[in-house]
Amino acid sequence: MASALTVLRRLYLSIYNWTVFIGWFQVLFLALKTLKESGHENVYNAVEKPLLLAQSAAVLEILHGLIGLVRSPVSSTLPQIGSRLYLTWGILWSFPEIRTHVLVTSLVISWAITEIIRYSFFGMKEAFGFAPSWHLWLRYSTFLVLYPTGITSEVGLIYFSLPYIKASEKYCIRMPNKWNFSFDNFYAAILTLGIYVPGSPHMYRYMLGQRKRALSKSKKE
Amino acid sequence: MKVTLVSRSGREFIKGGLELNDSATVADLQEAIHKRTKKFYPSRQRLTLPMPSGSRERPAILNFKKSLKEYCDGNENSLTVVFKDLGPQVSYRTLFFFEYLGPLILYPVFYYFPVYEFFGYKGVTHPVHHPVQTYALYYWCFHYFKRIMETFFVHRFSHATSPLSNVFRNCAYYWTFGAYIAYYVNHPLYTPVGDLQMKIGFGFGLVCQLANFYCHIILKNLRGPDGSGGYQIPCGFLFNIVTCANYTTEIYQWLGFNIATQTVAGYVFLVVATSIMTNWALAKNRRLKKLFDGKDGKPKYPRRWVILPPFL
Repeated sequence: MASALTVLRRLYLSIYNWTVFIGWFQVLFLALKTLKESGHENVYNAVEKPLLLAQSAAVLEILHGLIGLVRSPVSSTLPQIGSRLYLTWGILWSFPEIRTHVLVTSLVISWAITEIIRYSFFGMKEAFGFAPSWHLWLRYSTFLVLYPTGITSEVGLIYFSLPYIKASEKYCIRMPNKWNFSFDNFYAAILTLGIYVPGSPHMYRYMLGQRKRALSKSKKE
Repeated sequence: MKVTLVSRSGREFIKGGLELNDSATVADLQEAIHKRTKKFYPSRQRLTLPMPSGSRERPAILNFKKSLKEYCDGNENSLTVVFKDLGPQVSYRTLFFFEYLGPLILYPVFYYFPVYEFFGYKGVTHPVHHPVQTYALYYWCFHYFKRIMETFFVHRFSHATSPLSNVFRNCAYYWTFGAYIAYYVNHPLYTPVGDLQMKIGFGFGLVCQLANFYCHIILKNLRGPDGSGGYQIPCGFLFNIVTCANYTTEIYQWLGFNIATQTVAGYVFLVVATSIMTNWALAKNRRLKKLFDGKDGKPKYPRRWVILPPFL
């Protein structure tokens, strides 16, 4: 009985990981194609559909962690997925004015390369039971460059969309209301920028620790 | 006797160890360490017996009242003790005082002073308050005043001190939430609930605050005044049904406040506070069940709700 569940789990996770891999592959492909054929202003429009799908699918990963399907702790995936969803839906999808900014290109390419490596790594492990050591190396090394480029793009895009956030009043809730609640998107965005200040070095240090553990463990095996 | 002090990594912490009387107590050892190291006053020291490496059990912490001889197994002339620095410590009373002082002072600022001008609400120099806003002020301030009084006159703490870093963490929690809630309840555009709802909310909250106070008195009487701490099975009043009746009454007390004032901020605080207290309650329940396991003449901990009947 237990082995049938294990097989089901591996099948589901293989399908999940390879499907999302294809999504991010499309994002990278379309981004590079658009850059070559027209310019960075059109990158968002070209990648929008696969980007929204692939990034939103990541919500399932929180579920996987919660029900114990995968071992990753919810505490480290939550801030990562949170910032991704905030950028994808809260900034890019909500404020079209920012879509033509050049940082969209660097953002999308940084994310896509990272995710292509990550999802194919897990896809390999679930489907075939192993992943070659160069794959492991890629997974735990590309972040050294892609974290800074990705985080810079995220922070930059949030910062440059501030005027649009303020002017549009989108998602703002004003007083008076029955629940005596208010939400100001502009100040929330500034607060989010503030969180990046301690948050980024924390995440980077965490990944450095993960890298040390993963690469030394593979040396021992 | 000779006491060898090692750090958790096995390194000798005080070269050559310390020489103490055969009849010395752990407290004497702590004093000796403090004298030698100057920096590590007794409340900063965590002294344990060495555990075999790889052992998953938690090491036994030396009780300051016991004599060192009690911890020697066999060789009465020497003892090895593991030392850990707990970092700078503050007394629990100091910690509680400052974390509760914030809400006590910040909330009235939002009520009495024209702070909303700085939030863009021009011309609100003399705020006119709905009755519920005034009662909320009294209720809130009474609550934190009560907490401060209990800190100095009622509570008997299981540990004398807490790490200094907790001052910053706890004050951030209480002061931020205090200001967050105060901002909304005293807002010039605040929308009050109906009169009956307000009365039910504050009335229920007050009853719960009184019950909470009585729970604290019961807990206090479980421990002797000599600061010896220790754990007993709480009983009487609501403790017969719920292990952590003090947390239960505190949670319901905040519920009463929120029913009367109706702000999202207040309810968010309620949810966060409830989850923190639930964690504490589960740990306490586990500890009591482990301690009172019915063996060796100890009573067995009775089946009770942990914190929030009928859920947990």
